[in-house]
Formats: sequence, structure tokens, C-alpha cells
Amino acid sequence: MSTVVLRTVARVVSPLVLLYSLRLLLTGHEAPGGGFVGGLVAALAVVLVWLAFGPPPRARWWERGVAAGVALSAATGLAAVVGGRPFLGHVVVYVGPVKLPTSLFFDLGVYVVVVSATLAAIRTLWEAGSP
Amino acid sequence: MEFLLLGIPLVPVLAAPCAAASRRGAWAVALVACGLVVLLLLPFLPALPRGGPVAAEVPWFPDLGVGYRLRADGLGVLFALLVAGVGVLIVLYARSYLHHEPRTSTFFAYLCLFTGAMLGIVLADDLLTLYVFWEGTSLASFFLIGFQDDRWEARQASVRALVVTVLGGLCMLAGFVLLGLVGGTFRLSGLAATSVRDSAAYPWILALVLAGAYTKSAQVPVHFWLPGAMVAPTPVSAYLHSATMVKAGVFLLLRLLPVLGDTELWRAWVVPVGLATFLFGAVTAALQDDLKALLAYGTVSALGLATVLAGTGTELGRDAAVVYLLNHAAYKGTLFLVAGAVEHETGTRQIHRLRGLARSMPVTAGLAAASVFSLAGLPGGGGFVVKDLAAKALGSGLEVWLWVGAVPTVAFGLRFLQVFLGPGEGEGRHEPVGLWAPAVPLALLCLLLGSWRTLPEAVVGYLGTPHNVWPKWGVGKVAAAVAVVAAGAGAGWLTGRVAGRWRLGWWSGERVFDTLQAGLLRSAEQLTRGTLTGRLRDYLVVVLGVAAVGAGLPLLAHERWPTPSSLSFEAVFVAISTGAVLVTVLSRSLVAAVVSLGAVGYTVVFLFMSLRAPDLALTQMLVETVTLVLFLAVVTRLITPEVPDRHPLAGLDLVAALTVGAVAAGLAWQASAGPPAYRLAEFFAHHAERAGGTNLVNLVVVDFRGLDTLGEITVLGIAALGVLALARRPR
Repeated sequence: MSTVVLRTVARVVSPLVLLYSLRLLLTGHEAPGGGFVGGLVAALAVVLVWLAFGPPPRARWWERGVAAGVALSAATGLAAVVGGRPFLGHVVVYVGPVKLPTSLFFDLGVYVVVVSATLAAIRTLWEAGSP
Repeated sequence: MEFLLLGIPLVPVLAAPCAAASRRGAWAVALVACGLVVLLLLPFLPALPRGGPVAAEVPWFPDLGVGYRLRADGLGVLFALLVAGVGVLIVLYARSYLHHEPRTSTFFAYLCLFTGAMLGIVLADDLLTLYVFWEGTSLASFFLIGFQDDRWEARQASVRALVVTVLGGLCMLAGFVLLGLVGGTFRLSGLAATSVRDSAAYPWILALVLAGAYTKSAQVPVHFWLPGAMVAPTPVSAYLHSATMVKAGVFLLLRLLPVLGDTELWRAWVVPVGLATFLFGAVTAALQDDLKALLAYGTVSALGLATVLAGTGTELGRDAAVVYLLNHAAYKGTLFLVAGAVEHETGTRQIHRLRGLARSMPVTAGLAAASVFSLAGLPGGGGFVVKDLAAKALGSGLEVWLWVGAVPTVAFGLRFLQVFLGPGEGEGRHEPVGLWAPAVPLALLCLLLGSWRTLPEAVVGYLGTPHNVWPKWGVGKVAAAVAVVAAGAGAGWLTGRVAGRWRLGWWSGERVFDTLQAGLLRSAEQLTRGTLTGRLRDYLVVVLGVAAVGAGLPLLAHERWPTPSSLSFEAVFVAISTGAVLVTVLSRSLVAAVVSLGAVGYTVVFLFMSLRAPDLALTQMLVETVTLVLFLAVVTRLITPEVPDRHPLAGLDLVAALTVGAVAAGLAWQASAGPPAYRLAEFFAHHAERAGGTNLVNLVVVDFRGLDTLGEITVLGIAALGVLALARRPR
């Protein structure tokens, strides 16, 4: 599968797809997108690289990513409790002119979990399928 | 004072992790914890006769009237002092006893946990607080019995003890809930006797609570876990399984005596069980050849007598039971520590192999003699006072059993002493001070109970109204005591000839338990073999079948089915996806099936678009793509193409597939008929500004329904880790 065409395309396209996934995450509040969709797009970008260049040697990154994502999302909820609001009670803060809902950090956790879980599953099955 | 009280059970509990973390100083941590508790308890004693007992509470489930409530009344403080005081001695003893053991930190940590839980039981003033601590002692006991976890007997004995006591504990919990509902409060000291005893639920409450008390205090026929628990290290046997934990059942009876006791039903259900345990335990103890087994059955017997005393339902009975339990803790604790020292020095506990130890271990022998003196009820020992008090409490009808049971009791006491008598052998044995010094205060206590009048009277004074507990000494009483000892000596000589050869067999209860347990495991294994075929399609039929029936049955109850709206251009997508489904089902090629299944998914994307749901469409498309990549790039390489063992459309599979499809279609159909969720949509739209966005779908996911999403990503993560675990399984 690792042809010159695929490698060339992957080299150009995957960074753009990754950027697009971040855009989906960040604009989710206003336009179609969000952490879940963004995470899937990012995972696809990585898979494209793997298809072209082969998967990286075995790493435990993705497993940790799953834990880190869930922890981040839960932490935003706990931060709300510390701030005197109910668990997962989000607010909108303004950093200068930039509107920053705290739920964005929650969405970032979702993004990390989706990327990590998808890649962990694909990576593992890939390895299991290799002779 | 209140604050102090609340902290008392927490001191050992908090000491437990410190003990577990420290390497060599674990015993010191445990010692400080127990000693601190004793010091903390002392200020409560002088306050008792004057004024009411100190009580304190922290709300726990305020809506249900449940709290972490403690109350330092006489009964509670006396037992708490016993628990902590014996704890100090046991820790000192265990330090010498376990010096060759590798995992002493763990041991002392469990010991601390137990002490805390036990203190909680005796000081609790709330039914559920009591229950939680109660199960805490069961757990600590489980870990301590199975401490030598490389031995099968230790593990099995700990499982037996846990199952029996926890089953009883669960019954007790049900009884407590009933009691709390009937009595109107979960506060122990607030329960009124009249409303409970006259209610229709009284027999149920009594039966359930007694189940907890009997299993904990090892009453016949569930006594068997206690002799089995003797595989634990001896300090544990002395502490949990003779001096403190097993007394919790009797303690519960005494605690609930004002509420549940003094009825005909109480006497009818408590006295016979206690009596049977008393006699059975004493006779069986006399027939043992193992020192610790002998003491264990002796403990069973003692718990039986204490139950009988509680069963009288009177204040005199309660006083007698408490003095008796104190005396028992003192002499039986001493005997256990002596037995441990003997085993430690000689390497055996078999009575017939031990002889003449008094020469090499004189202090130990003296301690044993002092405690047997008290046990035998000779004048001057605690047993004499206790027996007199018990006889008064039991009344003429039951007193005769006291004398009947005293004979085998004396017999096993004398058989214990036998190991010290006779010509000395085993030169070179010695007695380390750490193995006898901790027993000295206990031996002194059981002697002082019978020779220092102030002590038993003070105990009774703390419990309630002081009255005269000192026996009138007379020739008749002394002669009777001596006669019992003589009879016991004869009985001991007789039982000594058959001891060890006599087996309980089915009567031991252990075998019944093990048979039941093995049967349960066997049937579970058969059930597993029958249902877990190892073929995914069988599991799918079960999972989807259950889902279809569960969702389908309520669907059948619907009478109104909406008329379908006319299909316009969506009909094209429906037709495409129907065709793709057919290809998926009929194709014999895996890749073709996967691709056509993807086609079904992509037509759904178009359907979402036509319904103006861009977020759903985007998500659907990406999920479809990732699935397709996963299948084509990975799974097709995993699965070796093989001829399926049956045709995809055969038999049950077809029925299951059609049913699931029909139910899913029916659900969608009914869902389209529901009233539009305008109010919810309005709510979301109204609050979108505060959530900081305009895309309602995403706001619902990350904000309005954030908790759902948190659960979903957790599930997603667990699923991914599950894939990891499955794929990395060694082949």
C-alpha cells in the first residue's frame, strides 16, 4: 500500500487534516464540529500517515491519552465544584476580546479521548493482524 | 468531649496506612494507636455515673435520618477499653511472636483497621454506623485469618468465616432497616421499646438481627468458622477470635436488649441456641487434642453462655453477661497467648506430644494456671464471681445447666494445663519475655475480678444501677466449686483418652459448607460452559435478542401507529441502502460485505443532510469512514477467510436479525409520532447564550448534557483498553 503517490499525498494532506481537526474542535460552539468529530478527523489524519509510512514502533502513548482525556474532562467538572458551581457547571469567560467557554476544555478532553481510543484500537488490531 | 469521641474509632483506622507504609516500626504505630485510644477513653469513665453519657454525631444521610453517631455509655466505654487495652497487649505480643514473619507491616495495618472497626461497633449509636463497622471487622478478620495466604487451609478458613459472618451481617442489615422504619429512627438510644415490640414486624426484626448476632458470635450451627479461624497467627486468635470480635454478637444482643429484649419470643429464640452452643462447645473442647482448637471450642462455649445470659432479658442477666465477657476475655486471652508461646517454643500444639513444660517455661505455666483457676470457678478467681452472678440471673430453671456445662469446661481447662505437668523434657527451651509479659495484665485481671470486690462492682456500676454482685462466701459454695473441679478432672481424664481420635465429620459444619461451596462452583462452571460457546454470533444472538425483546415488548403495547408521511426524494436513499443491505447479507466476500455496509452508512449521511442536521451528518460520515478504514486496513488482515460453520441466513440467526431489525424500525416509527420536544428545544435555545455558543448540538454534548458525555468518553476509553487487552492476549 505504501506507494509514492500515497506517501506524497500523506505528507501534504495529513498536516492540513490535523489543522482542520483543530478547527472543528475550536469552532464547535458556533458551527458543526466539536471534540468528538474533531477527534475522529485527527485520528484519520494519523492513520493516513501510518498507511503511507507504516505504524510507529509500539508505544503506550495512546493508552495514556485515554486516561489523560477522561481526567481532563472530569477535571473541568471538578474545577466548577471548586469554583462553587455544580459539577460540570460551565461558564463563559472573556480573555480580552476572545470568548472562552470553559466547556471548551471539556471538549478538549473529549477530543483527546477520541483520538487516543481510536488510534489505540487501530494500532493494536494492526499489530495483531501483522504476521 | 464530643469531638474526642467521634475521633476515637478513626485513630486506629488512620494509623493503618501509616503502619502499612512503615517497615520496621509498624508495631510501634499500632501500639501508639491502641494506647492513644485507651488514653482518650479514660476521661469518659468518671463522667459516666454523673450526668448522661456523651453523644456526638455527624450527619451522613440527613434525609434518611442516618448519621455517624457515637455515644459513650457504660457498656460502650467498657467494651472499648477492653478492645483498646487488649489491643496494646496483643501488639506487644505479636511483635515477639512474628519476629521471623516477613509481612508484619501488613499484619499490623490489618490489626489497626480491625481495632478501629471494633471500637466503632461498641461506641455506635446509629444502626447503620454500627452495621458499617460490623462489616469492617468481618473484612479485617478475613484478611487476618488468611494472613498466611500461601496455605490452602488459611484461605479456605478465611472464606468460610467471611461468607458466614457477612451473610449474617446482611440479614442484620435488613433487620436494622426494618427496626429503623418501625421504630421511627436509626438512632439506637432513641428507639422506643414499646412501639417496636408491639409491631407486627417484631418477629422478623428479631430473627434477622439474631442471624447477624449468631453468625458473628459463632453460635451452633454456624459456629464452625471460629475453630477454623485458628489457622490465623495466634495473636489474631487471641484478639479477634476470643477477646473482642466474636463478642460483638453478644454485645449486639446486650445493646438491643432495652429495645428488643424481655419478651417471651426473645427468651424462646435466644436461650435455647445459647444453651446448645454452651454445652456443645464445652464438650467438644474437652475432646480436642490441638491446644488452639481446644481454646476455640471453649470460646464457642463461652459465647453460648453469654448468649443465654443475654437471653434472660433482664438487667441482672446483662450485668452477668458483661462481667462474664470481661472475665472470659482475660482468661481466654491469657490462655491463647500461652498456647502461642508454647507453639512458638516447641513447634507443636498437640497436647499428647507436650509434657512437663513447667520446668522450662515456669512463668508461662504460672499464667496458664492462674487463668484456668479463674475459668474453673474456684473461689478467688473471676469465674467464682461470674458463676454466682450467672446463677442468680438464670434463676432456678436454668441454673442446673450452668453446673452441667461447668464440668466439661473445667475438663478442657485442666487438659490445657496438662502440657505443663509431668516430668520435664525438652531442655534448652526458654520463654522470651515478649511472649509472657503481655499476658500478665490479663491474668491479673481475671484474678482481680474474683478477689478485689471494687472491680466487678465498678463494672456493674458503669452499666446502670449498682447492686451487690459480690457472692456470699459459704462452705456450701466453696464445696460445690471444688466438687465441680473434681468432676471436671475426672471428665478431663476420660476425654483425654479419646481426644484427637474423635472427629466431628458432618457435624462440624465445615464439611456442609465446603460441599455447598463446591456445588455452587460446579454449577457455575457448567452454566458458563453451556452459555459461553466462544462463537461471536451466538453471543450476538443473545445480546441482540435480549435488547430486541426488552425494547420490543413495550412497543407491542402501543395502539396508535402514526401514518407514514409520504416519501419524497428520501425514497432514493432508502432504496439505495436497502440494496446495500441485501448485498451485505448475500455476499460471500468479506470485503464486499464491509464496503456495502459502509454504503448503508453513507446513505444515512445524506438522510441527515436532507433533514438539515449537519452535525449528525458529519459525525455519521466520520464514524463510517473510521470503521471502514479499521475494517479494510486492519480487520481483513486479522480474519482468516474460512467457510462459516452455518449459512448467515440459517435458522435462529435469521429470526434474530429480522426481530432486531423490526424492533429498531418500530422504535423509529413510534419516535416519529411523539410530540415534538419544543419545550426542551426552547430551553436549550434560551440558554445557549449563557453556554457561550450557537451550535445547539455541540452545546448539548459538552454543556447541557456534560455528565452523559463524560460517561460516554469513559466507556469509549474502557472499550479501547479492552481491545488492547484482548489483542495482546498471549496466544
